Amino acid sequence: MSAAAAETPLIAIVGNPNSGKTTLFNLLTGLKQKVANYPGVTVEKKIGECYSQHGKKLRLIDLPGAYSLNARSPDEAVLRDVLLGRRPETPRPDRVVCVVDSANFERNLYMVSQVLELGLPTILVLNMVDVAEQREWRIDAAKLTEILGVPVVKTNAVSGQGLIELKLALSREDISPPKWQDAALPEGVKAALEHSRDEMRQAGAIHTRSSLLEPLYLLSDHDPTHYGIADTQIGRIHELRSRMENDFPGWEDALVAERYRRIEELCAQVLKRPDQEIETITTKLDRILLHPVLGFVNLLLVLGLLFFLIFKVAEGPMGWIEAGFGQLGAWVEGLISPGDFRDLIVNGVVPGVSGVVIFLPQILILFFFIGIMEDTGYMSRLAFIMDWAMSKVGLNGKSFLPFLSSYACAIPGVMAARTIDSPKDRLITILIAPLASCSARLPVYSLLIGVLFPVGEVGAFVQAGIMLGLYSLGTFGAFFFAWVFNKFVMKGSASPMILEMPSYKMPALKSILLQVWQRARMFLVRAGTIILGISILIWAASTYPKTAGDDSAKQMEHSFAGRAGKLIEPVIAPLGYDWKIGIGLIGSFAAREVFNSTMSVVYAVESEDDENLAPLRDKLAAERRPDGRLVYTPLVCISLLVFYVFAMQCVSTIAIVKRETGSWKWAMFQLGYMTGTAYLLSLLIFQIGSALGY
Amino acid sequence: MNENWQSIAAIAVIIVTVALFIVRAVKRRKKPGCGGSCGCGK
Repeated sequence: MSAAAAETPLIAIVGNPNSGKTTLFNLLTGLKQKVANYPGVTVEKKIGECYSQHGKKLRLIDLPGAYSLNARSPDEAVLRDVLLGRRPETPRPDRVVCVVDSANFERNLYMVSQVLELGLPTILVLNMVDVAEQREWRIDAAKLTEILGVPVVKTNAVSGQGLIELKLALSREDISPPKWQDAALPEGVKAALEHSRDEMRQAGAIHTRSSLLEPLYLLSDHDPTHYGIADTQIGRIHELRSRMENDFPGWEDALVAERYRRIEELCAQVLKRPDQEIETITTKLDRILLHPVLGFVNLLLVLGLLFFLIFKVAEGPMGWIEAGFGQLGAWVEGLISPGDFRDLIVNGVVPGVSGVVIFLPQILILFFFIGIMEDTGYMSRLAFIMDWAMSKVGLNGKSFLPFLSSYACAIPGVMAARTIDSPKDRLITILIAPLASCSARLPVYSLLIGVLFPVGEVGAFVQAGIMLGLYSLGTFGAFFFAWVFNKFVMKGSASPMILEMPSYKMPALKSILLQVWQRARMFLVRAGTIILGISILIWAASTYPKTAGDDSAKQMEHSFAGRAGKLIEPVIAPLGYDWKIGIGLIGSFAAREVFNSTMSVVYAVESEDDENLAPLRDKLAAERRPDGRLVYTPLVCISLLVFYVFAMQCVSTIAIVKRETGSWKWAMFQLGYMTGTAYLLSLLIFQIGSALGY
Repeated sequence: MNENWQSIAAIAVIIVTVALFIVRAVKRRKKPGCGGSCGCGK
């Protein structure tokens, strides 16, 4: 951290999920944000800058949404650790902005009270005041300031109401520590916690100057990551927790009850609400959107719209990107005389980079749509409706949309899994997402189905039926593996979905567009740089060593890629594949659709156009082995199709999985289980089929 | 650019790419953490 950064006050924005804190953060910081992950966990770290009303620079940190400081997930643990100053890479905030959903005032106060007890100067923001007013709720801000001893600001993050008042409050340097400071601890519990604190200090689990709240939250948390605590210390903490439970049975529940009692007392003084609940637009809409039949019909319409946008509306911009890169290639071709460098740019870099950038419109549309659904409050309803189906394989409703998105492209699907709170469910969703047949598989399916059943020989409906079968096979495989991972690999308690149904509200477009921009930038920079490097290496593997002459098929055979194809031939021969198919398989580990263009080069077919597969299809259908037998028999085609359904052949997805899971371990596990399954199934199909005389 | 220079340039690009991949891998192993760009100063 630079000296200048150290002098700039760090203000943490905290709040319950759906309280609108990220929208406020985006409004305050605009594009002056940096997004990364906290070390050791895949929790997003957002730091931004803004200026106070007096022109002083302020640093804001948007901490993960949580309901309590008693962490139950890595996100909540990050919040607790940053506020307690336990994360070495993030300094303890100088001030805290506590954002409250005014329409859920009482429930939000639970975490507010915990934050106030930390003793940091705090500003309380009563957000979504418009929704509270619709319910005829009146919160007495002045009384609240008097009782809590903190500035209280009313805002509406969507319309920007109260933003100036908030900036004025942020400008204040005289904010004193809150009055609500004492954790209501019974004497016996307090003494036991003091004793535990001493033991933890001696064991080095906590800092020597830590407050009593630190042992309190460590002993009462359910955080699966336990960041910064060694295994031996965790054992000690478990011992202390057991001792506390033995000495004071139900002490945690008693503390929770006491906290709620104090919150109730506070609400009685500051919150006025009608005796009878006013029927809001949310209640009226939910009668339709959560209806067992109408809700499902509406969900199908929404998803239909999403797929229409992803497949149809994105088609145009994807075509423009493709054409743009095509023109760039043609321009380079005209600019540089023939040679290796030009070939590297035109046939390596340009197709490689365009192969990734082309998915950008789909990603932008998907994340914009997700942003709208999250911001309006519909996402929680979608997860609720789909929960019954996903629970059959041990997942919950929140896994549905990431999986569905993966039919367009696994990359946005894997990234969309960030919306899943349970780390286990999130990991399983990431692991199975690439089994959904993405759009990159489509050209390969089309080519091989064309070889298997040429148009004219069978009706188009047979081809469509096979295509549907391949999609169903991938879907079935994904559900099967989700069930297997849940049952055998990632054992542990089932994670029931606890969903909050936030009030419907107008989406904050500026905030959504900012988030879409951040996702797009991350996608282009991270995946794009890796893809660029791998494209260069693949080009090198298919170009060197060189042969004399211009015969591209001979060159391919002689190249490292060709040799690799021959090298793996003994491994793939039991599947019915020859070395030329081997080159296609190696090439398509970069991206599946590369199979078609690689095959075009291997068989020296002029047209590499995906739209016109006929010349390549005819060439494959006529290809024979040295002994005169056909290479692409129906059995080989089916074996190859099944291989493509299951195999993990996409470096971009591997790179994104590595980034999203935070380690190569899961990316490699995914590569192994998917490709292993693909190999095994293709082997069984070919061997059993051959034994039966097909 | 004649063909010889083009061959040299292409090989140089490949070497730089391989070197960058290696440096990236080694850097991450030596310095576990955020991997940079998060503003944490690591």
